Amino acid sequence: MRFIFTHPFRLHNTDLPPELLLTARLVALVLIFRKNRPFPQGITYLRILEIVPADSWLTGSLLIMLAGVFLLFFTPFVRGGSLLIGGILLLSILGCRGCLSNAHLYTAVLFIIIGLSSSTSGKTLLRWQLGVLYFGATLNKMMTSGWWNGAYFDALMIERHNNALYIQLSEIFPGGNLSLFMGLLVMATEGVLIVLVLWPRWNIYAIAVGILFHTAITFTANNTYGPFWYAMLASYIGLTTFPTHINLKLPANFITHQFKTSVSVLGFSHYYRVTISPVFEGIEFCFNHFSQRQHPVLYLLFTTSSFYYVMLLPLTINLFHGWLRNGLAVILLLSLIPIFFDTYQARQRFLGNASSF
Amino acid sequence: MIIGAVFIVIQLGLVFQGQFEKTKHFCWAPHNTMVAYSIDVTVDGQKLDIVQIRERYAIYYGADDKVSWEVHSIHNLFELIEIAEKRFYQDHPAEVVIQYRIEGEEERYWYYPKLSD
Repeated sequence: MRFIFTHPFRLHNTDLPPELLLTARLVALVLIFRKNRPFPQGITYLRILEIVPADSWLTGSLLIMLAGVFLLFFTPFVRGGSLLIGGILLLSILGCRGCLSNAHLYTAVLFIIIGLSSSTSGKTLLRWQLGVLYFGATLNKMMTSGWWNGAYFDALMIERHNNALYIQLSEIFPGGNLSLFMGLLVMATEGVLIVLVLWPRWNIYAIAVGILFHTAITFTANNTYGPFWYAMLASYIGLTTFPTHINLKLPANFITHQFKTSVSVLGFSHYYRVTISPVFEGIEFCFNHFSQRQHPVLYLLFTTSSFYYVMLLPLTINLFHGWLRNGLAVILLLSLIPIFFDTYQARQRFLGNASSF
Repeated sequence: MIIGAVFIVIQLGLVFQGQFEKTKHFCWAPHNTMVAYSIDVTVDGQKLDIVQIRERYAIYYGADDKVSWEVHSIHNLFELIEIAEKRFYQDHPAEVVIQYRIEGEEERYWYYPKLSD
């Protein structure tokens, strides 16, 4: 019983890099809480899929997806679980032409890529996958006239969404200049992201630019595009270097059995190597490379469980609108900052070592 | 690692192939175009309503009362309707007219069966 309770928070003892396992689990939880099921059977891309009766299609695919989620959270067969989820989502897209959605397609492909990754390949496949995604997106936009003359953004923001802020801004920058600028900005950002995600030493900038870019689109269009925004955030969490060592320096009276147990349940001790050393003044925590005196509550941000809570809170309370949505998104993004700095400092250290040779 | 690399290379191939296809199915062209459209379907002299059109072609058409938007290539929808008619409805064929407008351009029409010249 204890195994089932703690296993979802464990990120070690599998062949997957811990960041990728966390990414897969975050997206799986998003699918469950958003009730993103595989698509029902429609007009298929592959006729062979019609051998499965339409009635059994939805139930069967849902059961396979749930089996994948179970493997991902409660067993060591996390790659198999990830492949099952990604595979069935991809099949459900191939089984319904009318359901074609790049948002769901990326989610499916992300699970497959994580399922095909290992400790040997590390995050290489994820980086390549992001590179292909941005390459395709940039090339297709470059080949479409609406992105060069501003017609796309006019149709999106004015005709479709009737966005008051955009309409006001386009009056300040008349003659389609705003739409033209937005089109060029999106193409340039996606183009830059190709380089940033493919080059490991630039990944730290990819994380910053990517998260800002997709979050800006989500807020501007007031749409997460199904699970896409979450899948992209989780992909960038997968590119971070998660701390493997957290050193807690606490006053002696903090270190009780109860404290140790609660920290353990939240997910510290299964992946992070925690050393608790009694000190008399202040509280200090340090990751691999990043050290800071902070309030102890901040420790909670770096447990695997906290990532689940922060990612899912907007979904579970069903109030994903207005100031609450914005506030929760800001908390999520702020919680990444220390890990971002840790990854940054690891890179600086790497560069420092490299230049000394 | 090798299977994963092959999987990525296939996607790269699909991106290049997509540049020569109007449908752009799997070439990572998310929200590439904004097409406003409406569909008229007549079967055996009777016009289908929104729900019947959705069921006939398994599409998310007319989600609200306003105009529908296709964010992928509209040719995907044309292809879907042709395949559905040929595959499932040869006994009760439909006459389909799609009125569409790509990003502020002039309105266009697509017909099934195709109009003879």
